[in-house]
Amino acid sequence: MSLQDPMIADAALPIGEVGAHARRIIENVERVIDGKRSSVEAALTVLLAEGHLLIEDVPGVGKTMLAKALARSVDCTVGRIQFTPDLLPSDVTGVAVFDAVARDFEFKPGPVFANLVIGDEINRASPKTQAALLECMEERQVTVDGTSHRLAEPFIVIATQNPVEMEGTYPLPEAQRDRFMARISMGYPGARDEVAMLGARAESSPIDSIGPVVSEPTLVAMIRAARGVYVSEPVKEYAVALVRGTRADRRVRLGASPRATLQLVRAAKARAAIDGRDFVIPDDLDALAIPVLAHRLVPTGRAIGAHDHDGASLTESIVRQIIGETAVPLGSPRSE
Amino acid sequence: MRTELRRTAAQDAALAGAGLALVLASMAALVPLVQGSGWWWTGALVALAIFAGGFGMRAARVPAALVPPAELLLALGILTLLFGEGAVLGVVPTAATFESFGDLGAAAAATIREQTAPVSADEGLRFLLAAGAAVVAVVVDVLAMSLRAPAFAAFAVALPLAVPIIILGELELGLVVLVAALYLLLLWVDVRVRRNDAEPPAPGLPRAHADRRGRTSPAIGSAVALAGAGLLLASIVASSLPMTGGGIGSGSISGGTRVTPFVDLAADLRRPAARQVLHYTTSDDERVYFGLMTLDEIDGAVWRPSESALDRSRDVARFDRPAGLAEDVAVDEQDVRVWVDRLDSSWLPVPAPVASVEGLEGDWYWDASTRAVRSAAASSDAQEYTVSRLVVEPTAEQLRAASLAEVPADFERFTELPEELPASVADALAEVTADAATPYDAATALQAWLRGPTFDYSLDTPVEAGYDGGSLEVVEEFLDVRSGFCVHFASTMAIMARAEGIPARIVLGYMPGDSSGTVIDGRSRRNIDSHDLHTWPELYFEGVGWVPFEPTPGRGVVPDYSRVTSPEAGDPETPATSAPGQPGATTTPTASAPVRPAETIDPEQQAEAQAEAVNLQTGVGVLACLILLLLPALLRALRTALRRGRILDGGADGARAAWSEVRDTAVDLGEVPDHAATVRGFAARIRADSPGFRARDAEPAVLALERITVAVERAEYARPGDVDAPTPADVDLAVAALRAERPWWRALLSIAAPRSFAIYVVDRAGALLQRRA
Repeated sequence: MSLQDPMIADAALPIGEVGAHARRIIENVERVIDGKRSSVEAALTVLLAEGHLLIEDVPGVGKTMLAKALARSVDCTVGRIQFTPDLLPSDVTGVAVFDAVARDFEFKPGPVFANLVIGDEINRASPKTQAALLECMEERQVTVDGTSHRLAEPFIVIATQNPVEMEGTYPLPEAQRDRFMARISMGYPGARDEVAMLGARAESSPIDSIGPVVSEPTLVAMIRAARGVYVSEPVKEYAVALVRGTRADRRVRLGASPRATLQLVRAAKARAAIDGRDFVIPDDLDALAIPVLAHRLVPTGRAIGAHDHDGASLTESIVRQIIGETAVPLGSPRSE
Repeated sequence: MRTELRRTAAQDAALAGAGLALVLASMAALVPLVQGSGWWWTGALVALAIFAGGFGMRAARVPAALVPPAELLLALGILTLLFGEGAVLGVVPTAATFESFGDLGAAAAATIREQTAPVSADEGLRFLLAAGAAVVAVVVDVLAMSLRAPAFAAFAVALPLAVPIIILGELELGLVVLVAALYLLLLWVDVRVRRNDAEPPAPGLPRAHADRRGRTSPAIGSAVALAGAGLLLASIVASSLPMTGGGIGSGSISGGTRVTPFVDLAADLRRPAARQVLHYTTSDDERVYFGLMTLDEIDGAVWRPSESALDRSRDVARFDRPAGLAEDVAVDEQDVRVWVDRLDSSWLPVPAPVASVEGLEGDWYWDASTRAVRSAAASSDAQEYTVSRLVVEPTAEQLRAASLAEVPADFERFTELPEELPASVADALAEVTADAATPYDAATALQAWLRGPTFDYSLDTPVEAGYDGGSLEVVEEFLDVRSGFCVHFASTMAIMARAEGIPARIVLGYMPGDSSGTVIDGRSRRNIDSHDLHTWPELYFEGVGWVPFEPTPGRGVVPDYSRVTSPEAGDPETPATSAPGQPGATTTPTASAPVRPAETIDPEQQAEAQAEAVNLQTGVGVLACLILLLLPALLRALRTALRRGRILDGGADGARAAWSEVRDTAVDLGEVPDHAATVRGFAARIRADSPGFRARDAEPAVLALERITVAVERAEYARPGDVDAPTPADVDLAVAALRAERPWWRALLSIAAPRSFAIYVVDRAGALLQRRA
């Protein structure tokens, strides 16, 4: 199935229905992830914006659970790769094996040939293997022995990783982090949510109990609808102002790229669609600026030194501050 | 993102600078009331010290609650240093210091009581003004810095502004504009600082990183620069006002310094409600004038009392025989019993010439030259005393016989004029006295002329025409307009007499008052109230002494001896009675007979008319003040009304207008304006901060706010098309919820001093300036 298919193009859902479907997916995922509404929403936003999602957090807070629940909620093909240090690129992309009968090399597709690919603990793999996946993410095709194989559409990678300081990890290089539309973290659940979780998960994993609530064509139609969301000029300018803010900040060695601007606006469109709105408002950009921009920023060594915590929370606080300083078109007493 | 951050030193400095500039400018409002500008600099020093102290304490992280009391102590220390006596180390006050403060305060009160604007800036007054500056400075500093409610500073700085309005009835427009501009500057700085405050904190990062320095510090920097410019401007205005400020106040034309009670007198006369000053009885039931003080010097073209030290050898128990009173003049004695009801003065009202005064409390002495009764410490208030008064009844012949050649040499000062008589005055004098053979004839001719039909009595004309006072220039003006009150008539006659070579001076005191109809110890009781305040000239005739005249038409009693007009004039009519139906005299004096009591014109009708005029003036003044105070509220209300029209028009513009109204109302109520807040972000903040939105029955208001939010978002960000504009009812619901359950002062302030409007004005002004640039 292809998004370029005219039938599908026609099948773009009315925006209100996108919202309804989105709510169903969110509710479905929330049956297994307690109290993480914003993470779930961000994940779904990236899904509808056809981006790739990086979930970064300490082990055991439900990163993989979120990825799996999201994949299960949509009726589409799911591939899963558990990254380990000895994983080879061909384990990701697939290999050409010799078919003795046909006397020819036959391509055995790897797990990336799926609509939704879950890459678990991506930073535990060697850089070579990471690069293989990241190439797929960017090119949306796999080239083995000179033959290119197109990946499925939609193709969405949800990768999880542990914070880079952990042992036995190969941190993703900046250029590769840029491939991910957004990075979210789960955070620990609240005390009440954790107690509720104990009740619900004591005996069995609830992940088995949830099934798809949205079909693949519906998902494609939702993606299509999200693409059609309107972005007004002031909002575009606001998005650019936010991104340019990251480049002007003295604490940042490398600011967000124009690709980041593009992805920020695409994500914002998806968020508007989830909200059942056919236009983007500055709030969409505010809400997504941290997930979409923070992981792309490279802070200066001095700024990290002056910061008490890790680099991730530093870049997030930088983006948060930029949001707080950038003038919103209207909405403020200055604008009239 | 409403984290309260500590303000940086630069922000504090900007706020303090703006506050200081505002205080200094408002102090300049008192310049027309006090001579010189030294007192202003003293006050400025005190205010500067307090603002600097507050700034230093805040910079040193002194707990906020301790700053205001510490500032008060600082103020006390400075005042002690500058004015206090017996202080330890110069700044630590002792009981003696407070005692000296008390004395200084009393001295200041006396200065204010006895002098009129501009009063001389003696030490007591300088102390009082410095203390006032200290209080205003502390109040403004605490309001602007500690409480972060600089809008309230308006009330503090309105105090010094109100004083000249109350006393002079006017205020320099430029100063009002300056103070208003500095007030707006303070609000603007505050708004800037608040916006910076509203920024989210950068955890663990130094605050002054590049971006912040790049975007916010210039604003603070320019605020500091502006505040500095304001300071400079305020000091220039303060130091230049005494020179250029001739136009301020009622005695405007005189310019320069003037210590004259005239303005005070006029103010007392214009006061709608008369106050009883004293009552008295006389042994022969005759009515008497009460003199309070004698103005015998024209200094800098104004009348004032010559300064003479209290001579403690001249006790009031016995007075010398009046100067120049020859033995052949008939002299009677008359007892006058006086009860002072309400007159707080160090001068005692006595009927001249006095032989003795008995029954006084405190030490009172008489002045050798003027025979006025004064005390260093005692007050005239609530005194009861008996005056033994000489009744001098010279005949016209005796007066006519007085020759100028016999006048003692030291009386020359009573004929001095500060400058050449203006030509018009000299001409008039020459014409009036053309036929006068003797000084006495000249005097009676002058009196007759002044009381004649060509002059009007009016309390208001001089003020309207701008020549209130008693100087030469005023006399010139007065002779042109020919309308004025006792001050003008008395000073004209005195000046003209001096020009003729007759020693002349002016007495300030009270007309004889009215009979109350009651009797005390068999004598008729007379009441004197503040409307009886009066001035009259005294001319010196050798052989008789100082002789009072009454040149003011329609007022007072024309003395017997002056009633006989000069034979050359050949006009038997008394001057006063020659003027029935003259336009200005609203009362028609009866004919000559019974001389003393009957000539006094009952001024009831006149007073009523005056009171009406005064009421009208006061009313207009109060109204103008009210309008000025309410102006922001009125303009804000106008915006609301205009927006309502736009809401009714509907569409995207209606949605924007609805949102603007809700948002501005929230800002008026104290919500921090935040240019980085989105529509729904700000709406959420409004809901969180408004008790009215948290109430149980707030559902409709919440929904209304949501409709407005959605509509404005659609108007602003969606594809151009139809927008379901919110209805005025939605706006009303949301605004009502915003206003509900607020503390009364917050609600009042939001209406009286709408911050959104201040921001609007500041922004507009900024935009204009930018466009200019």
